[in-house]
Amino acid sequence: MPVGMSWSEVLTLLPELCLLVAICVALIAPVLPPLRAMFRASHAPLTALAIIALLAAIISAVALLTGSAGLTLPDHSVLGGMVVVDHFALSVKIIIYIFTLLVIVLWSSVTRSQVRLTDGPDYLSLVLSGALGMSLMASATNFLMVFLAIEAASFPSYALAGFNKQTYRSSEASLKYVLIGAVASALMLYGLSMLYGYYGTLDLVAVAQRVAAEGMSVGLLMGVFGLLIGIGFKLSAVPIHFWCPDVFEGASIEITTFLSVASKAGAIALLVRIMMTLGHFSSGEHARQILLGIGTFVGLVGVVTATWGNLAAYFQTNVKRLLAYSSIAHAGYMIMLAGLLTASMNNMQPTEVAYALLFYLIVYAFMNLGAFAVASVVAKESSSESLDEFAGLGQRNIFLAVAMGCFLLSLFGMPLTGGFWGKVRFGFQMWNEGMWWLVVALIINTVFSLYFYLKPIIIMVWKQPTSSRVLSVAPAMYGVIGIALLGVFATGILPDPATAWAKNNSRMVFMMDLPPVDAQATLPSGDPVIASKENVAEAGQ
Amino acid sequence: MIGLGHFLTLSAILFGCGVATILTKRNAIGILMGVELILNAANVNLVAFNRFSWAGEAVAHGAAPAVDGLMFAMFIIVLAAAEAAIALAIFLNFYNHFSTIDIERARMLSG
Repeated sequence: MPVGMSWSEVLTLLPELCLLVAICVALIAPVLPPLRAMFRASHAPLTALAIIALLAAIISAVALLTGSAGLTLPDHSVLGGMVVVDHFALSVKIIIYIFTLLVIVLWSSVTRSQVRLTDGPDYLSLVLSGALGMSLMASATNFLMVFLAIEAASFPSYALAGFNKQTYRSSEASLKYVLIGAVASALMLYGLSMLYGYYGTLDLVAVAQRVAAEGMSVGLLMGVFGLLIGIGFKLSAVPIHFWCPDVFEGASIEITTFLSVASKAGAIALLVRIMMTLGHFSSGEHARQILLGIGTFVGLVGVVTATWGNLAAYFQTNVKRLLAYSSIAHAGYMIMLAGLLTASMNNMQPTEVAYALLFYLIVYAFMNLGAFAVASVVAKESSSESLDEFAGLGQRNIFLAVAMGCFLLSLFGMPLTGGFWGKVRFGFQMWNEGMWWLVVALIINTVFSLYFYLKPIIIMVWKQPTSSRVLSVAPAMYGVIGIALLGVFATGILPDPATAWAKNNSRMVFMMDLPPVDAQATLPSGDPVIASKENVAEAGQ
Repeated sequence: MIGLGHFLTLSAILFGCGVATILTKRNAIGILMGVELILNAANVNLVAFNRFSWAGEAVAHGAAPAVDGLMFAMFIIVLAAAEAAIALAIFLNFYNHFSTIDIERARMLSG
């Protein structure tokens, strides 16, 4: 493990550094006397700062991914083995940053007026530090970093859930969130301490190699159990899902949107990385059984989570709670897929599974963003989040009604929308790996979910509106909803570009540079950039 | 001679106390105290494993003593403080609305 760090290594963390600089500026600039008046006058300067920082982060992540502008991906983990910057991590980061950017646009055009001007810097720095923690989750390869990333994503989320201090619901939501999160992270740490005690290392790859050589151990079981609790909390997996609907209902709607996609994208990327690393080194006979057990367990957790989310959504009358249970169900589908990574019976191609997940994350980000954006407009107009407020939306603003219908049908998995291809890819991977029971669970769950996705549509079309006033929408909102619609249909009608992108960018670094156990001496030399490009080209074919 | 076993026993007792506290307390600060007990159980584990199992192993291989466990424990202490700060601020805000921090009163959001 290299002791020192080169500048090129630091530059691989450029996206995170952009956010970090913006967080510091957002906290310090508003208290500097010459600038204070400007920041007290409106939210606009800080919003612009956050948007510029996110754009810079997106651009630098894309530059790293494509190898342009002199930025290249390292062929090993950086920061002394703490994080790894590879195609998979960067792709998830780009999804998180773009999503955060759209959430900030949503906030600035719908709910920004609810945040006091003196609270603006705190609010935006919390959102950006949440995004920072979530993108670190996608990169972490050391269990210390896993813990730090999960906490770095959680702490801002707790504060954001309770940011609307005047309301009872918001304070209750943040209380539940912080208590459950604290318990989950404490249990995770106890499991990790046992893992450290047994293996003497916190490095994910080193642990995976030891597991492959030695098989089952108490330390491994406790560590995996702890990790599943910690990550399962972020993903709202059953049985630690019950914070999710309460927090989603209590928090402000753009925070709900942010938590429903960005936070879960980071957490599922972390889970996939852990499962894939364990599965990658599992050639040994010792490891086969225990990894099969872990994978089956994770798959079962996914099935229970998806089923629970879909059944509980039946009884919801609040649109945010409905979408919360829908997001629990979608997290369940993604956890089911993560289970495949160690449980597959066949000779599996891990990048195939990772690409299905990346594709799904893109689609899921678009459709959830759209559904929450329409819901935020309707909720702001009527100052109520009940599903009844959607009554006759088709007569009040036909664009919003049609868009909402498309997003809900995409969440259900209707053909011609991205949600369909996402689910088809999932089912295809599960079938390929010989996990037919996951395919059955996926199909049954999709059928279950039809009713509650249709419910708002029926209300929009057939119920008489309570007010006949035409719903006016800010131009920026049309932009956000339009982008989401475009994304849903672009991935639904022409899934090939997104598929190709996901396929090219689903590789993880350990697959190209880490030799098998006891072969450290025969590390292949050569230009790592060329090697990685060749690997990408192979993966794309 | 006090060895690894003693420390693991201490940590297991702390863990048990923490879980029992979390399950029985209805006061939010009480639950936070239970969480701190579990965190300290993890800290004791990490430091004891580092001292008894892994620091010497690295020296035997000619390297500097391993400090992974100690570092992890340091980070846990710092983040536990940050977590307590956020949690107490949130409890205070809850208290302003409900005049109690009994979690049984947090019943507005359900279903």
